[in-house]
Amino acid sequence: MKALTYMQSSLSAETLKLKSTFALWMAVLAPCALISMYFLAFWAKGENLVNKEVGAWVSFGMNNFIVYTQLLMPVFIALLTSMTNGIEHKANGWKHLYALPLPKSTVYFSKVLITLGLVLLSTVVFIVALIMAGTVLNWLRPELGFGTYEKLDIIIFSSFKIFLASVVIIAIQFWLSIRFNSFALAMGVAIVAIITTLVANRWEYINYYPFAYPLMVMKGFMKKEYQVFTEEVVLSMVVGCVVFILGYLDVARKKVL
Amino acid sequence: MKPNIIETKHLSYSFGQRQVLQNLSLRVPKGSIFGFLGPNGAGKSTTIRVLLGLLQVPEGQVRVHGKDLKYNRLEILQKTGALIEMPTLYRHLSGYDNLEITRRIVQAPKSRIGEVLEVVGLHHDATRKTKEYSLGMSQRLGIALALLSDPELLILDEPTNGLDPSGIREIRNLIISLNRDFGKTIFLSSHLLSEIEKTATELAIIDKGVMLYQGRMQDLYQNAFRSQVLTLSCDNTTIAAKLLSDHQYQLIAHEAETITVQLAEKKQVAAVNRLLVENGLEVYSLNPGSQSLEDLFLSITNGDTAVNLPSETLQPAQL
Repeated sequence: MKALTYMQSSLSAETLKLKSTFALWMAVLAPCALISMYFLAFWAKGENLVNKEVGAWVSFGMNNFIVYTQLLMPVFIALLTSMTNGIEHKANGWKHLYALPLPKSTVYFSKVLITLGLVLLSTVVFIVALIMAGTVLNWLRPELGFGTYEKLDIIIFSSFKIFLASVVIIAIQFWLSIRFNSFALAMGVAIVAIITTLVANRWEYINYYPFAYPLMVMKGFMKKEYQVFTEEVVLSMVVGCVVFILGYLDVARKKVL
Repeated sequence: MKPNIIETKHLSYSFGQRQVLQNLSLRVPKGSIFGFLGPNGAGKSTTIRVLLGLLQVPEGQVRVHGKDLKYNRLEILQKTGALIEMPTLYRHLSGYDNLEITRRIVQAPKSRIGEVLEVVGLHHDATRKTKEYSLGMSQRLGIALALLSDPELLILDEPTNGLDPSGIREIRNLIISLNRDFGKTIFLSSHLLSEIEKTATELAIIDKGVMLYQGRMQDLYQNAFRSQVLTLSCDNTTIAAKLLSDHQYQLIAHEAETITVQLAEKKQVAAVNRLLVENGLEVYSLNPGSQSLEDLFLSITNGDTAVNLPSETLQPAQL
Protein backbone atom coordinates (compact mmCIF):
# COMPACT_ATOMS: atom_id res chain seq x y z
CA MET A 1 0.00 0.00 0.00
CA LYS A 2 2.80 2.34 0.98
CA ALA A 3 4.68 1.47 -2.21
CA LEU A 4 1.65 2.65 -4.16
CA THR A 5 1.60 6.01 -2.37
CA TYR A 6 5.30 6.45 -3.07
CA MET A 7 4.76 5.61 -6.72
CA GLN A 8 1.82 7.98 -6.98
CA SER A 9 3.66 10.95 -5.50
CA SER A 10 6.78 10.21 -7.51
CA LEU A 11 4.80 9.96 -10.74
CA SER A 12 3.05 13.26 -10.12
CA ALA A 13 6.41 14.91 -9.42
CA GLU A 14 7.93 13.42 -12.58
CA THR A 15 5.00 14.61 -14.66
CA LEU A 16 5.52 18.16 -13.46
CA LYS A 17 9.20 18.00 -14.48
CA LEU A 18 8.06 17.47 -18.09
CA LYS A 19 6.14 20.72 -18.11
CA SER A 20 7.25 22.92 -21.02
CA THR A 21 10.09 20.60 -22.00
CA PHE A 22 10.94 19.64 -25.55
CA ALA A 23 10.54 15.96 -24.65
CA LEU A 24 6.82 16.42 -24.17
CA TRP A 25 6.46 18.41 -27.37
CA MET A 26 8.43 15.85 -29.31
CA ALA A 27 6.16 13.01 -28.21
CA VAL A 28 3.30 14.96 -29.79
CA LEU A 29 5.01 16.53 -32.78
CA ALA A 30 7.06 13.59 -34.10
CA PRO A 31 4.07 11.45 -35.16
CA CYS A 32 2.33 14.54 -36.53
CA ALA A 33 5.38 15.36 -38.65
CA LEU A 34 5.49 11.86 -40.12
CA ILE A 35 1.76 11.79 -40.86
CA SER A 36 1.80 15.23 -42.44
CA MET A 37 4.58 14.17 -44.84
CA TYR A 38 2.54 11.24 -46.07
CA PHE A 39 -0.56 13.41 -46.06
CA LEU A 40 1.12 15.70 -48.57
CA ALA A 41 2.40 12.76 -50.57
CA PHE A 42 -1.05 11.16 -50.80
CA TRP A 43 -2.66 14.48 -51.55
CA ALA A 44 -0.28 15.08 -54.46
CA LYS A 45 0.36 11.57 -55.78
CA GLY A 46 -2.31 9.49 -54.07
CA GLU A 47 -3.20 7.62 -57.25
CA ASN A 48 0.30 6.05 -57.33
CA LEU A 49 0.44 5.30 -53.62
CA VAL A 50 -2.91 3.65 -53.00
CA ASN A 51 -2.78 -0.07 -53.58
CA LYS A 52 -6.27 -1.00 -54.82
CA GLU A 53 -5.98 -4.52 -53.39
CA VAL A 54 -5.57 -3.46 -49.76
CA GLY A 55 -7.40 -0.15 -49.89
CA ALA A 56 -6.54 3.46 -49.10
CA TRP A 57 -6.31 3.23 -45.31
CA VAL A 58 -4.00 0.21 -45.24
CA SER A 59 -1.80 1.78 -47.94
CA PHE A 60 -1.59 5.00 -45.95
CA GLY A 61 -0.88 3.14 -42.69
CA MET A 62 1.68 0.85 -44.25
CA ASN A 63 3.70 3.70 -45.75
CA ASN A 64 3.86 5.34 -42.36
CA PHE A 65 4.76 2.09 -40.60
CA ILE A 66 7.61 1.30 -42.99
CA VAL A 67 9.35 4.59 -42.32
CA TYR A 68 8.49 4.62 -38.64
CA THR A 69 9.61 1.12 -37.69
CA GLN A 70 12.84 1.14 -39.69
CA LEU A 71 14.07 4.69 -39.53
CA LEU A 72 12.18 6.99 -37.26
CA MET A 73 11.52 4.95 -34.16
CA PRO A 74 15.11 4.17 -33.07
CA VAL A 75 15.97 7.87 -33.31
CA PHE A 76 12.72 8.95 -31.71
CA ILE A 77 13.18 6.65 -28.70
CA ALA A 78 16.83 7.64 -28.29
CA LEU A 79 15.87 11.32 -28.32
CA LEU A 80 12.99 10.82 -25.93
CA THR A 81 14.87 8.78 -23.31
CA SER A 82 17.96 10.96 -23.36
CA MET A 83 15.76 14.03 -23.03
CA THR A 84 13.63 12.75 -20.16
CA ASN A 85 16.61 11.46 -18.19
CA GLY A 86 18.56 14.50 -19.34
CA ILE A 87 16.20 16.68 -17.28
CA GLU A 88 17.69 15.07 -14.16
CA HIS A 89 21.27 15.08 -15.44
CA LYS A 90 21.00 18.74 -16.40
CA ALA A 91 19.62 19.77 -13.03
CA ASN A 92 22.29 17.66 -11.33
CA GLY A 93 19.25 16.20 -9.62
CA TRP A 94 20.19 12.64 -8.73
CA LYS A 95 21.72 13.47 -5.35
CA HIS A 96 18.68 15.53 -4.39
CA LEU A 97 16.29 12.88 -5.64
CA TYR A 98 17.98 10.02 -3.81
CA ALA A 99 18.19 12.06 -0.60
CA LEU A 100 14.40 12.41 -0.58
CA PRO A 101 12.33 9.90 1.36
CA LEU A 102 11.59 7.66 -1.63
CA PRO A 103 12.72 4.09 -2.25
CA LYS A 104 15.32 3.97 -5.02
CA SER A 105 13.13 1.55 -6.93
CA THR A 106 10.30 4.09 -6.93
CA VAL A 107 12.59 6.78 -8.34
CA TYR A 108 13.72 4.44 -11.12
CA PHE A 109 10.45 2.82 -12.06
CA SER A 110 8.43 6.02 -11.99
CA LYS A 111 10.84 7.33 -14.62
CA VAL A 112 10.38 4.10 -16.56
CA LEU A 113 6.61 4.53 -16.47
CA ILE A 114 6.87 8.17 -17.55
CA THR A 115 9.05 7.20 -20.53
CA LEU A 116 6.76 4.35 -21.55
CA GLY A 117 3.84 6.74 -21.11
CA LEU A 118 5.42 9.26 -23.46
CA VAL A 119 5.93 6.65 -26.19
CA LEU A 120 2.37 5.46 -25.67
CA LEU A 121 1.19 9.05 -25.91
CA SER A 122 2.92 9.46 -29.24
CA THR A 123 1.28 6.22 -30.42
CA VAL A 124 -2.12 7.64 -29.55
CA VAL A 125 -1.25 10.92 -31.25
CA PHE A 126 -0.13 8.92 -34.29
CA ILE A 127 -3.50 7.18 -34.50
CA VAL A 128 -5.49 10.38 -34.04
CA ALA A 129 -3.37 12.22 -36.60
CA LEU A 130 -3.69 9.32 -39.04
CA ILE A 131 -7.49 9.29 -38.80
CA MET A 132 -7.65 13.06 -39.18
CA ALA A 133 -5.28 13.00 -42.16
CA GLY A 134 -7.32 10.24 -43.85
CA THR A 135 -10.54 12.12 -43.25
CA VAL A 136 -9.15 15.32 -44.73
CA LEU A 137 -7.71 13.34 -47.69
CA ASN A 138 -11.17 11.92 -48.33
CA TRP A 139 -12.53 15.43 -48.43
CA LEU A 140 -9.73 16.67 -50.71
CA ARG A 141 -9.52 13.63 -52.98
CA PRO A 142 -12.62 11.43 -52.58
CA GLU A 143 -11.58 9.15 -55.47
CA LEU A 144 -8.70 7.67 -53.39
CA GLY A 145 -11.15 5.67 -51.29
CA PHE A 146 -10.62 7.00 -47.76
CA GLY A 147 -14.41 7.25 -47.36
CA THR A 148 -14.84 3.61 -46.41
CA TYR A 149 -12.84 3.63 -43.17
CA GLU A 150 -12.14 0.04 -44.11
CA LYS A 151 -9.59 -1.92 -42.00
CA LEU A 152 -8.90 1.11 -39.81
CA ASP A 153 -9.15 -1.23 -36.82
CA ILE A 154 -6.14 -3.22 -38.05
CA ILE A 155 -4.07 -0.08 -38.34
CA ILE A 156 -4.97 0.98 -34.79
CA PHE A 157 -4.32 -2.54 -33.53
CA SER A 158 -0.93 -2.65 -35.29
CA SER A 159 0.10 0.74 -33.91
CA PHE A 160 -0.30 -0.54 -30.35
CA LYS A 161 1.47 -3.74 -31.30
CA ILE A 162 4.42 -1.73 -32.57
CA PHE A 163 4.48 0.09 -29.25
CA LEU A 164 4.65 -3.24 -27.39
CA ALA A 165 7.37 -4.48 -29.73
CA SER A 166 9.42 -1.35 -29.00
CA VAL A 167 9.49 -1.91 -25.21
CA VAL A 168 12.88 -3.60 -25.41
CA ILE A 169 14.36 -0.68 -27.39
CA ILE A 170 12.96 1.74 -24.82
CA ALA A 171 14.50 -0.37 -22.03
CA ILE A 172 17.96 -0.40 -23.62
CA GLN A 173 17.94 3.32 -24.38
CA PHE A 174 16.53 4.10 -20.94
CA TRP A 175 19.35 2.24 -19.25
CA LEU A 176 21.97 4.00 -21.35
CA SER A 177 20.49 7.43 -20.77
CA ILE A 178 20.02 7.06 -17.02
CA ARG A 179 23.55 5.69 -16.67
CA PHE A 180 25.40 8.06 -18.97
CA ASN A 181 24.70 11.71 -19.52
CA SER A 182 25.50 11.43 -23.22
CA PHE A 183 23.29 12.37 -26.09
CA ALA A 184 25.91 11.18 -28.57
CA LEU A 185 25.87 7.68 -27.11
CA ALA A 186 22.09 7.42 -27.40
CA MET A 187 22.16 8.63 -30.99
CA GLY A 188 25.08 6.39 -31.86
CA VAL A 189 23.24 3.32 -30.62
CA ALA A 190 20.15 4.42 -32.55
CA ILE A 191 22.10 4.81 -35.79
CA VAL A 192 23.80 1.45 -35.34
CA ALA A 193 20.35 -0.05 -34.74
CA ILE A 194 18.97 1.46 -37.95
CA ILE A 195 21.89 0.34 -40.10
CA THR A 196 22.09 -3.19 -38.70
CA THR A 197 18.35 -3.66 -39.11
CA LEU A 198 18.48 -2.46 -42.71
CA VAL A 199 21.50 -4.59 -43.57
CA ALA A 200 20.29 -7.72 -41.79
CA ASN A 201 16.75 -7.35 -43.08
CA ARG A 202 16.76 -10.73 -44.84
CA TRP A 203 18.87 -12.60 -42.29
CA GLU A 204 17.11 -15.78 -41.09
CA TYR A 205 17.55 -14.87 -37.39
CA ILE A 206 16.54 -11.22 -37.74
CA ASN A 207 13.42 -12.00 -35.72
CA TYR A 208 15.62 -12.41 -32.59
CA TYR A 209 17.35 -9.04 -32.99
CA PRO A 210 15.75 -6.66 -30.45
CA PHE A 211 15.91 -3.59 -32.66
CA ALA A 212 14.02 -5.46 -35.38
CA TYR A 213 10.95 -6.42 -33.33
CA PRO A 214 8.82 -3.47 -34.54
CA LEU A 215 9.82 -4.35 -38.11
CA MET A 216 8.58 -7.91 -37.50
CA VAL A 217 5.22 -6.48 -36.42
CA MET A 218 5.10 -4.48 -39.64
CA LYS A 219 5.87 -7.58 -41.69
CA GLY A 220 3.11 -9.43 -39.82
CA PHE A 221 0.78 -6.55 -40.61
CA MET A 222 1.48 -7.03 -44.30
CA LYS A 223 0.76 -10.75 -43.91
CA LYS A 224 -2.55 -9.81 -42.23
CA GLU A 225 -1.71 -11.25 -38.86
CA TYR A 226 -4.34 -10.39 -36.27
CA GLN A 227 -2.79 -11.85 -33.15
CA VAL A 228 -1.55 -9.57 -30.36
CA PHE A 229 1.03 -11.71 -28.63
CA THR A 230 3.12 -12.82 -31.56
CA GLU A 231 6.69 -13.97 -31.01
CA GLU A 232 8.30 -10.53 -31.37
CA VAL A 233 5.81 -8.87 -28.99
CA VAL A 234 6.33 -11.50 -26.29
CA LEU A 235 10.11 -11.36 -26.75
CA SER A 236 10.12 -7.56 -26.63
CA MET A 237 8.09 -7.42 -23.43
CA VAL A 238 9.98 -10.19 -21.63
CA VAL A 239 13.46 -9.04 -22.65
CA GLY A 240 12.39 -5.41 -22.07
CA CYS A 241 11.34 -6.19 -18.50
CA VAL A 242 14.62 -8.03 -17.88
CA VAL A 243 16.62 -5.07 -19.21
CA PHE A 244 14.60 -2.63 -17.08
CA ILE A 245 15.31 -4.74 -13.98
CA LEU A 246 19.01 -5.15 -14.82
CA GLY A 247 19.18 -1.40 -15.37
CA TYR A 248 17.65 -0.85 -11.95
CA LEU A 249 20.11 -3.20 -10.24
CA ASP A 250 22.94 -1.40 -11.98
CA VAL A 251 21.70 2.07 -11.04
CA ALA A 252 20.82 1.12 -7.46
CA ARG A 253 24.28 -0.13 -6.62
CA LYS A 254 25.95 2.87 -8.22
CA LYS A 255 27.40 5.48 -5.89
CA VAL A 256 25.57 8.80 -6.02
CA LEU A 257 28.12 11.55 -6.34
CA MET B 1 23.39 16.14 28.14
CA LYS B 2 21.40 16.74 24.98
CA PRO B 3 20.74 13.75 22.74
CA ASN B 4 22.78 13.57 19.57
CA ILE B 5 20.86 13.89 16.33
CA ILE B 6 23.78 12.54 14.29
CA GLU B 7 26.25 10.02 15.61
CA THR B 8 28.91 8.21 13.68
CA LYS B 9 31.07 5.53 15.21
CA HIS B 10 34.51 4.95 13.74
CA LEU B 11 33.17 5.81 10.33
CA SER B 12 35.56 4.92 7.56
CA TYR B 13 34.99 5.14 3.84
CA SER B 14 37.15 4.57 0.84
CA PHE B 15 36.78 4.92 -2.90
CA GLY B 16 38.60 1.83 -4.06
CA GLN B 17 42.13 2.08 -2.68
CA ARG B 18 41.82 5.69 -1.60
CA GLN B 19 40.81 6.09 2.04
CA VAL B 20 38.59 9.18 2.27
CA LEU B 21 37.29 8.97 5.83
CA GLN B 22 39.15 7.44 8.71
CA ASN B 23 37.65 6.57 12.04
CA LEU B 24 35.34 9.55 12.10
CA SER B 25 33.24 9.79 15.26
CA LEU B 26 30.87 12.70 14.90
CA ARG B 27 28.47 13.76 17.62
CA VAL B 28 26.00 16.42 16.60
CA PRO B 29 23.85 17.56 19.54
CA LYS B 30 20.19 18.30 18.92
CA GLY B 31 19.43 22.00 18.59
CA SER B 32 22.92 23.05 17.64
CA ILE B 33 24.42 24.68 14.60
CA PHE B 34 27.18 22.24 13.92
CA GLY B 35 30.03 23.64 11.86
CA PHE B 36 31.86 21.02 9.86
CA LEU B 37 35.07 22.60 8.79
CA GLY B 38 37.83 21.43 6.56
CA PRO B 39 39.83 22.41 3.51
CA ASN B 40 38.72 21.29 0.06
CA GLY B 41 39.09 17.56 -0.36
CA ALA B 42 39.05 16.88 3.37
CA GLY B 43 36.12 14.48 3.13
CA LYS B 44 33.28 16.82 4.07
CA SER B 45 31.10 16.06 1.08
CA THR B 46 31.78 12.35 1.40
CA THR B 47 30.66 12.49 5.03
CA ILE B 48 27.47 14.28 4.02
CA ARG B 49 26.75 11.76 1.28
CA VAL B 50 27.20 8.98 3.81
CA LEU B 51 24.86 10.73 6.26
CA LEU B 52 22.18 10.96 3.56
CA GLY B 53 22.55 7.35 2.49
CA LEU B 54 23.92 8.25 -0.95
CA LEU B 55 27.03 6.22 -0.20
CA GLN B 56 26.61 2.98 1.65
CA VAL B 57 28.38 2.12 4.88
CA PRO B 58 28.11 -0.98 7.06
CA GLU B 59 25.62 -1.31 9.88
CA GLY B 60 26.36 0.38 13.18
CA GLN B 61 28.53 3.18 11.87
CA VAL B 62 25.94 5.88 11.34
CA ARG B 63 22.98 6.75 13.52
CA VAL B 64 20.72 9.67 12.58
CA HIS B 65 17.70 10.65 14.68
CA GLY B 66 18.76 7.78 16.98
CA LYS B 67 18.29 5.14 14.28
CA ASP B 68 20.74 3.08 12.26
CA LEU B 69 20.93 4.53 8.77
CA LYS B 70 21.43 1.16 7.12
CA TYR B 71 17.92 -0.06 8.00
CA ASN B 72 15.95 3.16 8.48
CA ARG B 73 16.95 5.21 5.46
CA LEU B 74 13.47 6.39 4.48
CA GLU B 75 12.39 7.16 8.02
CA ILE B 76 15.55 9.20 8.61
CA LEU B 77 15.24 11.05 5.30
CA GLN B 78 11.67 12.01 6.14
CA LYS B 79 13.00 14.06 9.06
CA THR B 80 16.03 15.43 7.24
CA GLY B 81 16.37 18.18 4.69
CA ALA B 82 19.49 18.57 2.62
CA LEU B 83 21.21 20.99 0.30
CA ILE B 84 24.24 19.40 -1.30
CA GLU B 85 26.56 21.92 -2.91
CA MET B 86 24.68 23.52 -5.80
CA PRO B 87 20.93 23.11 -5.36
CA THR B 88 19.00 20.86 -7.71
CA LEU B 89 16.89 23.21 -9.77
CA TYR B 90 14.96 22.41 -12.90
CA ARG B 91 15.89 25.55 -14.77
CA HIS B 92 13.00 25.37 -17.24
CA LEU B 93 10.50 25.66 -14.39
CA SER B 94 9.55 28.46 -12.00
CA GLY B 95 10.67 28.56 -8.40
CA TYR B 96 7.16 27.59 -7.38
CA ASP B 97 7.10 24.55 -9.67
CA ASN B 98 10.50 23.45 -8.40
CA LEU B 99 9.11 23.51 -4.88
CA GLU B 100 5.95 21.76 -6.03
CA ILE B 101 7.97 18.82 -7.45
CA THR B 102 9.65 18.15 -4.12
CA ARG B 103 6.45 18.89 -2.21
CA ARG B 104 4.66 16.12 -4.10
CA ILE B 105 7.40 13.67 -3.15
CA VAL B 106 7.63 14.59 0.53
CA GLN B 107 3.84 14.93 0.65
CA ALA B 108 3.80 18.22 2.49
CA PRO B 109 0.59 20.28 2.49
CA LYS B 110 0.27 22.76 -0.36
CA SER B 111 0.35 25.73 2.04
CA ARG B 112 3.89 24.76 3.00
CA ILE B 113 5.24 26.21 -0.27
CA GLY B 114 4.08 29.70 0.71
CA GLU B 115 5.60 29.26 4.14
CA VAL B 116 9.05 28.24 2.95
CA LEU B 117 9.06 30.97 0.30
CA GLU B 118 8.37 33.44 3.10
CA VAL B 119 11.17 32.02 5.25
CA VAL B 120 13.80 32.35 2.52
CA GLY B 121 12.36 35.63 1.23
CA LEU B 122 11.57 34.53 -2.31
CA HIS B 123 7.79 34.97 -2.39
CA HIS B 124 8.07 37.82 -4.91
CA ASP B 125 10.15 35.76 -7.32
CA ALA B 126 8.29 32.46 -7.04
CA THR B 127 6.69 32.70 -10.49
CA ARG B 128 9.94 33.51 -12.31
CA LYS B 129 11.83 30.77 -14.09
CA THR B 130 14.77 29.61 -12.02
CA LYS B 131 17.17 30.12 -14.91
CA GLU B 132 16.73 33.83 -14.25
CA TYR B 133 17.71 33.42 -10.60
CA SER B 134 20.97 34.79 -9.23
CA LEU B 135 23.31 32.44 -7.45
CA GLY B 136 22.11 33.69 -4.07
CA MET B 137 18.47 33.23 -4.99
CA SER B 138 19.18 29.72 -6.26
CA GLN B 139 20.91 28.89 -3.03
CA ARG B 140 17.98 30.22 -1.01
CA LEU B 141 15.55 28.24 -3.12
CA GLY B 142 17.74 25.20 -2.42
CA ILE B 143 17.30 25.81 1.30
CA ALA B 144 13.57 26.25 0.76
CA LEU B 145 13.51 22.83 -0.94
CA ALA B 146 15.27 21.33 2.06
CA LEU B 147 12.75 22.97 4.39
CA LEU B 148 9.62 21.68 2.63
CA SER B 149 9.15 18.60 4.75
CA ASP B 150 9.66 20.69 7.92
CA PRO B 151 12.64 18.53 8.92
CA GLU B 152 14.21 18.51 12.37
CA LEU B 153 17.63 18.29 10.83
CA LEU B 154 19.04 20.36 8.00
CA ILE B 155 22.22 19.27 6.29
CA LEU B 156 23.76 22.07 4.28
CA ASP B 157 26.88 21.39 2.26
CA GLU B 158 28.80 24.58 1.50
CA PRO B 159 25.64 26.71 1.27
CA THR B 160 27.58 29.93 0.75
CA ASN B 161 29.84 28.60 -2.00
CA GLY B 162 30.25 31.11 -4.77
CA LEU B 163 28.13 33.84 -3.19
CA ASP B 164 29.06 37.48 -2.88
CA PRO B 165 29.40 39.04 0.60
CA SER B 166 25.78 40.17 0.79
CA GLY B 167 24.58 36.78 -0.38
CA ILE B 168 26.76 35.15 2.26
CA ARG B 169 25.27 37.37 4.93
CA GLU B 170 21.72 36.57 3.82
CA ILE B 171 22.37 32.83 4.06
CA ARG B 172 24.12 33.24 7.40
CA ASN B 173 21.21 35.18 8.89
CA LEU B 174 18.81 32.62 7.49
CA ILE B 175 20.75 29.77 9.11
CA ILE B 176 20.83 31.51 12.47
CA SER B 177 17.12 32.29 12.27
CA LEU B 178 16.23 28.71 11.31
CA ASN B 179 18.08 27.49 14.36
CA ARG B 180 16.86 30.12 16.81
CA ASP B 181 13.29 30.71 15.65
CA PHE B 182 12.40 27.31 14.20
CA GLY B 183 14.48 25.06 16.44
CA LYS B 184 16.21 23.24 13.58
CA THR B 185 19.44 21.42 14.12
CA ILE B 186 21.78 22.49 11.36
CA PHE B 187 24.76 20.56 10.11
CA LEU B 188 26.76 23.07 8.13
CA SER B 189 29.83 22.19 6.17
CA SER B 190 32.21 24.83 4.92
CA HIS B 191 35.80 25.54 4.06
CA LEU B 192 35.24 29.16 5.04
CA LEU B 193 36.23 29.71 8.62
CA SER B 194 34.60 33.10 8.86
CA GLU B 195 31.24 31.48 8.14
CA ILE B 196 31.54 28.77 10.76
CA GLU B 197 32.99 31.23 13.27
CA LYS B 198 29.94 33.47 12.94
CA THR B 199 27.19 30.89 13.04
CA ALA B 200 28.20 27.63 14.66
CA THR B 201 27.70 26.65 18.28
CA GLU B 202 29.52 23.35 17.83
CA LEU B 203 32.42 22.62 15.62
CA ALA B 204 34.36 19.80 14.10
CA ILE B 205 37.51 20.26 12.07
CA ILE B 206 38.45 17.57 9.62
CA ASP B 207 41.37 17.15 7.29
CA LYS B 208 42.34 14.26 5.01
CA GLY B 209 39.43 12.28 6.43
CA VAL B 210 40.66 12.56 10.01
CA MET B 211 38.94 14.50 12.77
CA LEU B 212 41.26 17.09 14.25
CA TYR B 213 38.96 18.81 16.70
CA GLN B 214 35.43 18.43 17.92
CA GLY B 215 33.67 20.35 20.61
CA ARG B 216 31.85 23.51 21.53
CA MET B 217 32.84 26.70 19.81
CA GLN B 218 33.52 28.49 23.12
CA ASP B 219 35.86 25.76 24.28
CA LEU B 220 37.86 26.13 21.13
CA TYR B 221 38.38 29.81 21.86
CA GLN B 222 39.27 29.17 25.48
CA ASN B 223 41.63 26.29 24.88
CA ALA B 224 43.28 27.21 21.71
CA PHE B 225 43.56 30.95 21.87
CA ARG B 226 46.40 30.99 24.28
CA SER B 227 48.73 31.54 21.43
CA GLN B 228 49.97 35.14 21.76
CA VAL B 229 51.82 37.07 19.15
CA LEU B 230 53.39 40.52 19.09
CA THR B 231 53.89 42.73 16.08
CA LEU B 232 56.30 45.57 16.56
CA SER B 233 58.02 48.22 14.55
CA CYS B 234 61.26 50.00 15.31
CA ASP B 235 64.01 51.98 13.60
CA ASN B 236 66.08 48.97 12.61
CA THR B 237 64.18 45.77 12.23
CA THR B 238 67.20 43.79 11.07
CA ILE B 239 69.05 44.34 14.33
CA ALA B 240 65.84 43.79 16.30
CA ALA B 241 65.25 40.48 14.56
CA LYS B 242 68.82 39.36 15.32
CA LEU B 243 68.44 40.41 18.94
CA LEU B 244 65.16 38.66 19.43
CA SER B 245 66.24 35.41 17.88
CA ASP B 246 69.45 35.51 19.94
CA HIS B 247 67.25 35.71 23.02
CA GLN B 248 65.28 32.60 22.01
CA TYR B 249 62.20 34.39 20.73
CA GLN B 250 60.49 32.65 17.85
CA LEU B 251 60.10 34.94 14.88
CA ILE B 252 57.01 34.43 12.79
CA ALA B 253 57.46 37.13 10.22
CA HIS B 254 60.06 39.68 9.39
CA GLU B 255 59.18 42.46 7.02
CA ALA B 256 60.74 45.81 6.17
CA GLU B 257 58.84 47.76 8.80
CA THR B 258 57.55 45.16 11.21
CA ILE B 259 58.49 42.00 13.02
CA THR B 260 56.08 39.44 14.45
CA VAL B 261 57.17 37.21 17.29
CA GLN B 262 55.55 34.34 19.10
CA LEU B 263 55.10 34.90 22.84
CA ALA B 264 54.47 32.44 25.61
CA GLU B 265 52.48 34.94 27.66
CA LYS B 266 51.37 38.54 27.55
CA LYS B 267 53.97 39.69 30.11
CA GLN B 268 56.67 39.08 27.56
CA VAL B 269 55.57 42.16 25.64
CA ALA B 270 57.26 44.27 28.30
CA ALA B 271 60.34 42.08 28.25
CA VAL B 272 60.67 42.42 24.49
CA ASN B 273 60.27 46.16 24.74
CA ARG B 274 62.94 46.39 27.46
CA LEU B 275 65.32 44.24 25.47
CA LEU B 276 65.02 46.43 22.40
CA VAL B 277 65.22 49.74 24.26
CA GLU B 278 68.21 48.62 26.35
CA ASN B 279 70.00 47.78 23.13
CA GLY B 280 69.52 51.27 21.80
CA LEU B 281 66.66 50.67 19.37
CA GLU B 282 63.80 53.11 18.95
CA VAL B 283 60.52 51.24 19.37
CA TYR B 284 57.64 52.86 17.46
CA SER B 285 54.81 50.47 18.11
CA LEU B 286 53.90 47.28 19.92
CA ASN B 287 50.76 45.41 18.83
CA PRO B 288 50.03 42.35 20.92
CA GLY B 289 47.40 40.06 19.44
CA SER B 290 46.04 36.60 19.44
CA GLN B 291 45.64 34.17 16.60
CA SER B 292 42.29 34.27 14.91
CA LEU B 293 40.43 31.07 14.24
CA GLU B 294 41.66 31.32 10.68
CA ASP B 295 45.29 31.08 11.75
CA LEU B 296 44.37 28.37 14.14
CA PHE B 297 42.54 26.49 11.40
CA LEU B 298 45.46 26.85 9.08
CA SER B 299 47.89 25.81 11.78
CA ILE B 300 45.78 22.78 12.69
CA THR B 301 45.39 21.64 9.14
CA ASN B 302 49.01 22.34 8.28
CA GLY B 303 50.18 20.34 11.25
CA ASP B 304 52.28 23.13 12.80
CA THR B 305 51.63 26.24 14.81
CA ALA B 306 51.45 29.89 13.92
CA VAL B 307 52.27 30.33 10.30
CA ASN B 308 50.28 33.41 9.51
CA LEU B 309 50.24 36.95 10.63
CA PRO B 310 47.51 37.78 13.07
CA SER B 311 44.70 39.44 11.19
CA GLU B 312 44.90 42.56 13.38
CA THR B 313 48.26 43.48 11.97
CA LEU B 314 46.89 43.57 8.47
CA GLN B 315 44.92 46.68 9.26
CA PRO B 316 46.48 50.00 8.29
CA ALA B 317 48.64 51.62 10.94
CA GLN B 318 46.85 54.05 13.18
CA LEU B 319 48.14 57.55 13.69
